[in-house]
Amino acid sequence: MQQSESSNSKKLTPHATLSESVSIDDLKLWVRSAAAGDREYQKRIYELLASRIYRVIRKIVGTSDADDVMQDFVIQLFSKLDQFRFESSLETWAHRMAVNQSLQYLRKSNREAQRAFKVALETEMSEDPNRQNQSDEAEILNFAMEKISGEQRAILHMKEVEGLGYEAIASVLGIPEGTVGSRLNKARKELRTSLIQLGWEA
Amino acid sequence: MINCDWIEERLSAYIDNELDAKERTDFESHCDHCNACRATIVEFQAIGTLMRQSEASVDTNSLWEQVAPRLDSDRIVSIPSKPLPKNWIYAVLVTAASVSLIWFFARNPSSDHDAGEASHEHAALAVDFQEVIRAAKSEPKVAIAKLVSKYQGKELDIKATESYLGYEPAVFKSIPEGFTRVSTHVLNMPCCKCSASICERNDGTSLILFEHKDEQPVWFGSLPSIETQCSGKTCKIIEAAGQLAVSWKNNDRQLTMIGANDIAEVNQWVASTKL
Ligand SMILES: [Zn+2]
Repeated sequence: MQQSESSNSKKLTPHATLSESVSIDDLKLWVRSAAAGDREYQKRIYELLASRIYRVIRKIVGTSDADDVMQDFVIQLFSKLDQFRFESSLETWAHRMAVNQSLQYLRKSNREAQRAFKVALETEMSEDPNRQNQSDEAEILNFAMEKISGEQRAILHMKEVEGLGYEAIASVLGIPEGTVGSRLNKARKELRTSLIQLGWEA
Repeated sequence: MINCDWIEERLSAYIDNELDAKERTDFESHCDHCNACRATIVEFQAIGTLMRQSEASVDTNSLWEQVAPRLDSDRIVSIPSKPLPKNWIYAVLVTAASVSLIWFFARNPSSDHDAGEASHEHAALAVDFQEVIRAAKSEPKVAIAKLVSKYQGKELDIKATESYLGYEPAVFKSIPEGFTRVSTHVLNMPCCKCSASICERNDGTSLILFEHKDEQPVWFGSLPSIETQCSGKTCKIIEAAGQLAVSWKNNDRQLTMIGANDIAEVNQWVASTKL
């Protein structure tokens, strides 16, 4: 779970949405069956969502806590799946749940989580055998990310890594679309400042 | 007037392609002549590139192997075991009302086969039950009192309870450490004679343990319930208002507990009331 090699950009393409890979009728069957506890369908839904959800959780809570938060997310997902009404996409719905859960996790155990995040980063940097594959820039980015808030990590991740548009970001975060740009401005400025302090140059 | 402040407000929207055509044109014509604004754009774009390049890979398969076994049991144990408020029993009973009633009245053999009749009966009774709860204040004793008046119940001492029921309730034999039995009432339910004991924790919160002789498996109607092993017994568990309602067969008895904090407490109770 903690490999640090950069993955190729193809893997990160965010546009392979559920609606493209599964028909709506199939998805309805999957959701119904999974909500009723059918393990096979739960697994299918997990596989559809897991990679993307895991990435955003990891970005918000940090590598060391990501597995725990992800497990809690999966449990919550299937216990609430019977409440999903297909009013938004399943991805958006699940995504929102994951982001909220991650932010809540940070708030609940703020000090501990921040510390764990920092420790994990330091450990990863000093002990990870794959570390040579990771550029110095990536290490600096990890440190700089720690300086901004969980909300800011979430919104930057959704924009830069997932490539979501403002409307989609707004619906995941439950904020007005008109505020997405200014929030991104603030997050980017703060991240830039941290990066520069750590010696980064664009 | 397009100045650097105007640009600054729209930097992200420009980079992310969220500006309309007019604003985009204005934005670009300012930047054609402003090195400072151009430099910021370059930096913001570089941050995006850096983030995409630094994104580590993910292995979600092993995580599924870890989480899948938790999917059933964790619907229960994930409830935070926070201290219960004094009036917890009403919250539990309100949401568990239908549960308890189905439990009590599923004893009618026809209701096992005639879902329509069972739910009709259940609906009619549930109204009464909720009235009972609404009338209650903030003491479990009051909740019991309402049940008592509805089901010709009465508080009895140990000896009188035993002779009324014809057996010694398991709850009289032993209860877990940290609990005190406060009172036991007998209820003349349509299904059976039943005892209801209030047991108090050291922190002053309570749970109620119902016990009756039963040949039939208890079920919780259509509410999602989970069957799991607790201290060697198969327990049927539902979650209500953040608490657990649990039922298990104990020799020739059926024990049902409302208001358990968590699975650990259920285990404790199942173990120490074993006949
Ligand atoms: Zn300018």
